[in-house]
Amino acid sequence: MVTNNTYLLPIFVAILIVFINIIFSQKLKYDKRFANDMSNRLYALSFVKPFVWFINPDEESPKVKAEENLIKRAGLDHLMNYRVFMTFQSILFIIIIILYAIILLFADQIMAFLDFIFRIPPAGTGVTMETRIFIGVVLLSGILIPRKYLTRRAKKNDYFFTQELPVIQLSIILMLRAKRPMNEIMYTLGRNETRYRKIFEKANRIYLRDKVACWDYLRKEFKGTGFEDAIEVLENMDMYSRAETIRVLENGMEFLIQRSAEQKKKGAAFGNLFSQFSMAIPFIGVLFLGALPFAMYIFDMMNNGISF
Amino acid sequence: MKVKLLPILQDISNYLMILFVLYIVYYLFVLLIERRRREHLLNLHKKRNSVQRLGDRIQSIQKFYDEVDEFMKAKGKPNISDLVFYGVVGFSVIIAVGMLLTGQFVLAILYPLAFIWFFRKIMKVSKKNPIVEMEETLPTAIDHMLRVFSKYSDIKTIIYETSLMISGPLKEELDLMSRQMNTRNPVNVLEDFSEKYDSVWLNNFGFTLLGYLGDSTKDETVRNLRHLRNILEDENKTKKDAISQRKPSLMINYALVVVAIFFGVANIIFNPKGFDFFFHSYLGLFCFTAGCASILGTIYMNIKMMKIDK
Repeated sequence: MVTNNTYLLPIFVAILIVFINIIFSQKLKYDKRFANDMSNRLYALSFVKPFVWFINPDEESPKVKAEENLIKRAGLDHLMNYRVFMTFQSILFIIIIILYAIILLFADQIMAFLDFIFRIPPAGTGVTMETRIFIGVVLLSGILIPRKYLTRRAKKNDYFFTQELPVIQLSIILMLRAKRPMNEIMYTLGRNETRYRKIFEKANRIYLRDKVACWDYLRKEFKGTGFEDAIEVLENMDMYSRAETIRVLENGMEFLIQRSAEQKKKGAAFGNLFSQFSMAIPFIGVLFLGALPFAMYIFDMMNNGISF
Repeated sequence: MKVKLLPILQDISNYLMILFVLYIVYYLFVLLIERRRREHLLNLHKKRNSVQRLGDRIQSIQKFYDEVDEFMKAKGKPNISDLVFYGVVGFSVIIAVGMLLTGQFVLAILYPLAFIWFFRKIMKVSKKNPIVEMEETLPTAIDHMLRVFSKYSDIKTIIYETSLMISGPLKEELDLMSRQMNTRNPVNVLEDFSEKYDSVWLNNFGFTLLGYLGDSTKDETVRNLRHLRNILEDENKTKKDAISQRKPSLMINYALVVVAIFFGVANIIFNPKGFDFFFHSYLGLFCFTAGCASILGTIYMNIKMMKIDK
């Protein structure tokens, strides 16, 4: 079933070029939102026709909020938001569709080319429908990859987010011992290169303007990590003795250390589990290099009816 | 009886001959390394070797050679870095020639490139992070520092004395700090140190010492340092425990790799269909590529699993 579709190739190339041209030829008419130029472009594209269909314009809807939250947890909010992510996904989808169309129409030619490159005698049967459908399924599952990546990153970050909290509390205690004022503590925390730098940077700016809002902001950011107690203590530090505040913080730190150790044990258990499963990879090597060729040989012998 | 014995004797003498040649090659190799070591001691190696001269003209060769050189320096064997370079290039050429002999011209280009890419990847992943090394030595350093604290009160002397008792990158850092304190204000030096590295532990270490220069007492500083040391020690211990628990599965992984290589070679040599299957069918090409990739991937994964991450 070798059909001659070669005349369609220039049309597909033209469609691809036009499509890429749409993306890269638009002028950005407003301020840059993100650090990355590509993200800015995607953000601009999210307002034009083909992509705007895929995007929920209501920013308050719970689904959009959940997406934004996922991006933030993954630590990529300086690179993208919901609109950018959805635009990226729809572009990926369109590219996959075009790619699949090309493969579907020119499968025989591609096969002939591969036969030529790898010097394999052509089978002459053409590409079966099953293979074409299989390729389609594999390509379409590529759409799931970006979201999978985000979720994995978010999970990893969630784990590490609680790991460095004892150290932060320790540095707060050390600074309090050195009789530093609260605004200086905030400033130092926002400047030190930790996982929480961005949070404290923002908190410091809020603190200069409105102290209550700053504590609320911190409480929201560290929700459910066990660090809220420390924030509570720091909030009404002025009312009590400094030495007692430090003692409360020190006791709280014990709890944080214990908690992070527990989590670490869980993580290490997972790592050990992974190291046991890692055997699968060399085993695949044994299978492919050793077992499969041997099996092929045996089957071949059986087919040819050679008796042992 | 004599007639039967003769071919066996011939075989044995052939094998002995091969062993002898291999031994001579090995011995020459040892001699070469020994000569390199002597050259290195006499500082003769500063003369640019042929790879470096070739690298003046071709950028990519220079880049790769520099990477190998840096890697071998970190391993403590800078005298054989060009031998390693030749080894990697030689192996790539062997792969290329082998693939040419099987008739796969495209793969004869792709596989060597993939091998060199993989080797660079391995060099990158096995490089030790200086911050991790410093964090590993920090608890010991603090122990020594507390001892020194019992004798001296001057921060410059304390840092200098501590730097004498430890080793690694942290020693150099402390040494540098104590020397800088001769000419600069110790507060500024410590502030620079606290901001220099992307590590909370080192930041806090510097900060505690800053507190000592500020208004903390000696007792408070000692207590804070001890606290810091205990937390960090726990952290390091958990990481090391996790890694030592992974060791058995690493051994199994390497054993499986050896088995895979053995079976692969056996299939190519002894299986009458093996050669055709591996190099002249799509399934075989896939098996060969995926099998080799999984062997290299195992090596990469094992190195990565034994490494303490930041």
